[in-house]
Amino acid sequence: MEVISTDLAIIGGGTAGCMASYEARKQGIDSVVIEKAKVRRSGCLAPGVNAIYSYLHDGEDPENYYEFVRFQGMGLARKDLALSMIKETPYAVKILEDYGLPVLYERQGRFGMRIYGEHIKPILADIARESAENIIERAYSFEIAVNGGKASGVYVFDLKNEDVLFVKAKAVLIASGGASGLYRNYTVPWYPPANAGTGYALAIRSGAEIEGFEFRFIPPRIKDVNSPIGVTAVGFSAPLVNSDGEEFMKTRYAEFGGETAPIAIRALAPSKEYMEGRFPVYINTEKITEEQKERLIKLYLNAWPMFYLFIHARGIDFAERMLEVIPCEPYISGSHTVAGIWVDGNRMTSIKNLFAAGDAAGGVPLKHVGGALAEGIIAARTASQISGNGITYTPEEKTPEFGDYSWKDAEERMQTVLDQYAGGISRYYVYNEHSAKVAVSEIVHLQSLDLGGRAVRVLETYDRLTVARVMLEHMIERKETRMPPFQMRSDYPGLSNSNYILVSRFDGSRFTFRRDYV
Amino acid sequence: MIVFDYDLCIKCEKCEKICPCLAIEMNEFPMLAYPEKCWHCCACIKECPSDAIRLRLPPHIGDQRYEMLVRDERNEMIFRILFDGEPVDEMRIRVRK
Repeated sequence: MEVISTDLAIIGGGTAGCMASYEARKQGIDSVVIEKAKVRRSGCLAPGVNAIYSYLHDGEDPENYYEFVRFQGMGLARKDLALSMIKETPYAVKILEDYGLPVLYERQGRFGMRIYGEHIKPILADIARESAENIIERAYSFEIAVNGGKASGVYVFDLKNEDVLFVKAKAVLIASGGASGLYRNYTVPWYPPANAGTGYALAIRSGAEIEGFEFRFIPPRIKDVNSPIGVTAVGFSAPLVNSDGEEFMKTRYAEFGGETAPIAIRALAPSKEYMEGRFPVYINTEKITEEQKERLIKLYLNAWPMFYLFIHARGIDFAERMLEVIPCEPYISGSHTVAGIWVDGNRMTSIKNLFAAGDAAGGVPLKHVGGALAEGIIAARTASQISGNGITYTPEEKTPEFGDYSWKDAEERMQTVLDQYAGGISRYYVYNEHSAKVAVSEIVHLQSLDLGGRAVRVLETYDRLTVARVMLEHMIERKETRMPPFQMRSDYPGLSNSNYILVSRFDGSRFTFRRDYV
Repeated sequence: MIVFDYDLCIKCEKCEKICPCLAIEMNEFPMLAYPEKCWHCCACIKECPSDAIRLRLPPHIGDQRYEMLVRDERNEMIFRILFDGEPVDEMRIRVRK
C-alpha cells in the first residue's frame, strides 16, 4: 500500500479545503488535498456563486453577525464559532481577490458581499494548486485512522486504479461538505449530488461527536428549476404571494418577522400555503424593471445558470408571469443549519487532531461561503500549531468490500423511506416517534446489505446510510417541535423555544447524547 | 439534463474528468451514465472545447426544444440560448479580473 506523508491531510478540495491549503502553506506546514472529483469544479461552488454571504463589512460589529445568525437559527447558534468565523471573512475574500476574483465591494443583504463569482471555483483551485504539496483527485476517503485517541491519517480509495493508499498526517481536516440525496427529490437537487455526507460518515465511524442533525435544511426555492429566491426576494424586495394574491408572509407570519422571518419560517410558510390549498405560491416580480431583469439574470448566471434556460423555455416574463416558489426536499448541511460535526473554537472535533470546516462542521446557521472560507483558515492555523515530528502510526491493509446488491436499489429505498417516514416532501416535512422508528429499522436493514456496482456509488451510498441513521436518532431524541419545518413533529406539535443543540456520539453499537446549551 | 452532439465531440474526455458528481463516463464517446447524479451545474458544458454538450431542462419541467450552450473565453463566459438549434438569445458575464 502506498503511503504519503504530510502535515495536514485535507479531505475535500472545495471552499473550505482549498482555503485551508492556502493557510497551511502560509503557516509553514505541508498539506495534501484529497478530492473525489476534480478540484477545478468540485463541490458546492461548481456553478459559481453571486455573493459571499457571511462577510464582515467595514464598520460592522462581529456581535451583530452573531445576533443575525441567532435570529436565523431561531435562537440556536454557537457564539464562539460565529464570532471567530466572521472575523476571518475579509482576510479570506482578499486572498480570492488577489487570485483574480472580481469583488464589487457592495452589500448583498446585511452580511453579503457582491462578487462576479462564476469562476470562484477555478480560482480556488489555482490557490490550492499553488499551496498544497500534493492534490490527489478521483480519490475517495473512506476511513480516518485514529491512534491513541488522535487522528493520524486517512485511508483513501483511488477511483482511477481501485487501489488503497494511506495519507499519514499530523492533522486531518474534514472539509467534504454536507449531505445531498438522502431524501427523494422532486426536481433537480438544491445541493450537489456529489455531496454524499462523506465527512459526516467518516467522523461518525471514528466516534467523533455530531451536533444538530435533527435540523434538516429545507430551502424555499424557485419551483422546478430549484434556483435560489434570495437574490430576487432580498435583492429586489419582491414579496411572496399565494393564489389569492395575499402577501401571506406579512399577514400570517408577522410575529416571526414577515418577509424577513428566519429561513425556516420562510420554508414553512409556502409549504403551509400548498398544504391548505392556496397554491401556486409566487414571488411577486411585477415591479422589476427591464434593466433590473437583466441584472437579475446575470446574478443567476453567476450562480445557477439553468435559470436562464428555464425562463426562456417556460416563456417567463417577470411582469406577466411570476416565478413560483416551493420548498424542496430536506438536506443535512452545516452551511445553513447547525447540523454538522461538533467542533471547538479552533475547529477541532472531539477527536484530537481531527478538524472539520465548512458545511461539514456544525454550530452556526447560515454560514454560507464566507463561513466555509473562514473555517478552512482557522482549522489550518490550529493544525499548524501541532507539535511533534512524525507519526508513529503504522497503517493497516484495508480494502472496502463490495457485494452484489445494487447500490441504486438501496439508494432508491433509502430515499423513499426517508421521504415517507422521516418528514420528506410527501409528508410536508412532519414526522413522529413511530414513523421515525420505522425509518430507522429500514435504514439499519439497508446498512446490512453488501452493496455492489461502481465503487464511487457504493461508497457514497454507505455514507448516506450512515448519515441518515444518525439524523433519525437525533430526530427521535428531540421530543419537541423546535424549528418547523426543519424539525417538526406531529406527536409534539407545540412550538418550543428550548435553548440546546443535541450532540451525539456513536460507539459502533449505540448512541449517547448530550445537550449543548447556547 | 445534458445532451451530447457526437458529430462535434472530439473525445478529449474533459467532460468526464470535470464532472463534480462523476456522472459522466466514457465509452467510445462520453455519456451521462448516471442521469440522477447530474446537478445541471454546466461544468462539463463550460469545459467542452468543441461546443458538443448542451443543457436541456429535465422533460418534466419544460420545453425540450430549448437548449443552452456556454463558452468559456477565460475572462468572460458566454451563455447562449438555442431554439431548435438556432440561437435566440445571448448573455455575457465577466468572470475574472
